[in-house]
Amino acid sequence: MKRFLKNVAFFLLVLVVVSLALTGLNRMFLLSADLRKIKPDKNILVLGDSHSKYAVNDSIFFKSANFAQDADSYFYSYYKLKYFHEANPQIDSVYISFSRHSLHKSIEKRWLLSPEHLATRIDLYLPLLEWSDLWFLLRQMPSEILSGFFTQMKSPFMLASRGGKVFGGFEYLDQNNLKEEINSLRLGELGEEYQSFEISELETGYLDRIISYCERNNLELVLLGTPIHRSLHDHCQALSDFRESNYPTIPFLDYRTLDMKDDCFGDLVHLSPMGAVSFSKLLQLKSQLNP
Amino acid sequence: MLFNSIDFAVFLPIVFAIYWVIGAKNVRYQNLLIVISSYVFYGWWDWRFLSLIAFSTLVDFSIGRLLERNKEHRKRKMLLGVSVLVNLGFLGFFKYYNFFLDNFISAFSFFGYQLHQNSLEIVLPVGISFYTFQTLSYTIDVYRKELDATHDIVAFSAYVSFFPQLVAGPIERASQLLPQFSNRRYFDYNDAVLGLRQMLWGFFKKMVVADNCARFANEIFNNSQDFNGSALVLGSLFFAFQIYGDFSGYSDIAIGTARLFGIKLMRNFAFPYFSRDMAEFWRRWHISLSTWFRDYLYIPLGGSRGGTSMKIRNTFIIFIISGFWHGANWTFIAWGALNALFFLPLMLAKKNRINMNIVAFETNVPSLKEFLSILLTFALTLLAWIFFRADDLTHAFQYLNGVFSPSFFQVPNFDMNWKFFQTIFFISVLVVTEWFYRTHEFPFDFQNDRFKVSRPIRFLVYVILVIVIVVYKGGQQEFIYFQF
Repeated sequence: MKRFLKNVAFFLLVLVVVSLALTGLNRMFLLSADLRKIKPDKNILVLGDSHSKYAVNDSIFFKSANFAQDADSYFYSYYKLKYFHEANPQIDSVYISFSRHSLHKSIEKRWLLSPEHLATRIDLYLPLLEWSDLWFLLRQMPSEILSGFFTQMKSPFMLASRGGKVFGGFEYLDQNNLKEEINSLRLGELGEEYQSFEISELETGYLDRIISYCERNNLELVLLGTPIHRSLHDHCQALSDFRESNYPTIPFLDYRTLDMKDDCFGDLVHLSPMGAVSFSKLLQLKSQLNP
Repeated sequence: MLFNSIDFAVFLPIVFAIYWVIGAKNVRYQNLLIVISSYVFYGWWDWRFLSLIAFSTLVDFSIGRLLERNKEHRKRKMLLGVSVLVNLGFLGFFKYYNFFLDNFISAFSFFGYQLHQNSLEIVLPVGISFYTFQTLSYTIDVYRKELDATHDIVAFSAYVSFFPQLVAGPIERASQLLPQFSNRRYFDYNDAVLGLRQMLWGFFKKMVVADNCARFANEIFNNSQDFNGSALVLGSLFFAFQIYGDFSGYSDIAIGTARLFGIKLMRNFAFPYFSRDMAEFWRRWHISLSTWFRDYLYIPLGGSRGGTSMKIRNTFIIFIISGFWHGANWTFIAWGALNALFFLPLMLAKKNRINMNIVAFETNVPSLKEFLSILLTFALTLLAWIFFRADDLTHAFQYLNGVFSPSFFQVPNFDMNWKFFQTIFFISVLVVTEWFYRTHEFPFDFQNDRFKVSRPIRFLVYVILVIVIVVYKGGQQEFIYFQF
């Protein structure tokens, strides 16, 4: 029995060593990679979910570098902020998506505590996680996190093939569901986040960490409300009230009710390529007027 | 509790440690621990159905004792009848009630009578088909006086509920498993190591091969109308490896886990896709079920004795019931009947026992005839799997219609992305590895290895296999045979 236990323990130890070595190597690779570096003339970091990703074209709003990604919780935005800011001292401002969507309770399960979603992120983020967050995720999704120690070996290949794009970035929205969504809305089929305004404490917790990080590093944090379709404008007040009472000192670039034609929307909350161009030009113009 | 879950990864070492530390002193402690841990294992899924296992255990234990005491043939027969009735009654109610009801109503409506009776919302208890057959084997063996009735209720409970094979087999014979619970088990290093290796190979088959194949098999079968003939063949191929990896993987994990506790379970799969004819396939696929039906149904019916009509009748009965055992759907019956059709010519020509040895035993490379025989047999099994996997008979015939169409000769209209090639690669790894180890019970059976692999290389193989399992595990989690 002793021999058996000794051999099993040795085998497990080898696995642990391999997984830690992979994590260490991966971390070294991630932290030293050129993909961290953004152009020196870009001093605004755009983060958040698909709202920012499809709205801010960083080659038009050229002072910005957009790393927003579909279904990105504030949890991942926090790590991206640290990752890019540490390597790019010229960054002085951070624009981050701020919407009912990004704060809603239902997002917690879908974007943070979902094993399927975690599987799309863990390979890249595991070596960057702080101990407290690693422990938090390990308690929530042990199987996925333990797998992540090995699956992260894929991330250097992902980085080699896609570069910084693995962290997100501007893309033109290549689908148009606006008519369908308007019809659904007429039939009373509202998305979960518009049925109630139930706030996720987890999400706001990570937003608070982003705020603290920005304060510590003298970064200006700007909450960004990207345009939404006029049929949802009636639902805008609750978020404004929430911001007013919880983040009164954080600037809120609120373009949600910006008057835009239907052609500018890919769906009710995402801008179409045409909308993205107009909106990015507007941001660029504003920044020129108020440098 | 699923074998491929974190829960099991925590559960197994705890039970293993208690079993060999506390339980090692006394066989009753060992058995008691097996019973408790097995009930926890099963109750993890749904504790309410533990009462079914407990009831079935009590009934068959009592009937065994009564059979031992009664010498009168009529009374013994009656007691056996009670056991069969109780066990098959449970099975019939939970598994087949709605099937018979729906078909009964359809039959009446065909003749113009409208019956109104709603189907019941019945949850099928996991593993019911397996443990009812196992307990039945006990009473039948005692009835036949091939086995003495046990007086130890704890040992008998351990036999019925032994967690590694409780929910999906192998379906053990009382004569083989029960005596193992009567004697104290001693830790055997070689057996435990062998067990871990077999588990590792089982996890690879289930989590890497089966779960990755499932993605493509599901996509093609669920949207079969959108695919051309060659893509549909791919769908059937993926399903063939999905079900093999899933079920034989489960069996390997079960047998390997049992070895850790000093229990030897019967072999359930013997590389069936290397079979040279359908008779050989059925000697190598789900062996514990095939031999159960052979011993308790086929032979009592007369087996292959008697005239041609008798042989045909018995063959159809055994295959159709075997198909129906899998589920309450006409597709399983058709699958069984089709296999009977494949098997029958071999039996009638007395060629069903010509391939009893291991293919290319001496040479490692099959002859052209052997190779073509393996391909033909595999093609027939692919054809039969279509019925097994289809939603209903209409779907199965539509699928077949799609396969046997001119589009069979076109390039598959299926997205052959890197995941597809990755899955094909893992299937190839499975096939090649099993081919080289086909003379063993399972690959990596290094103790009896003819390749003489050195220790560091073996160690490296295990590490790589664990990493491959973790990194390339597919999405589907549950074992297919749980639904049976």
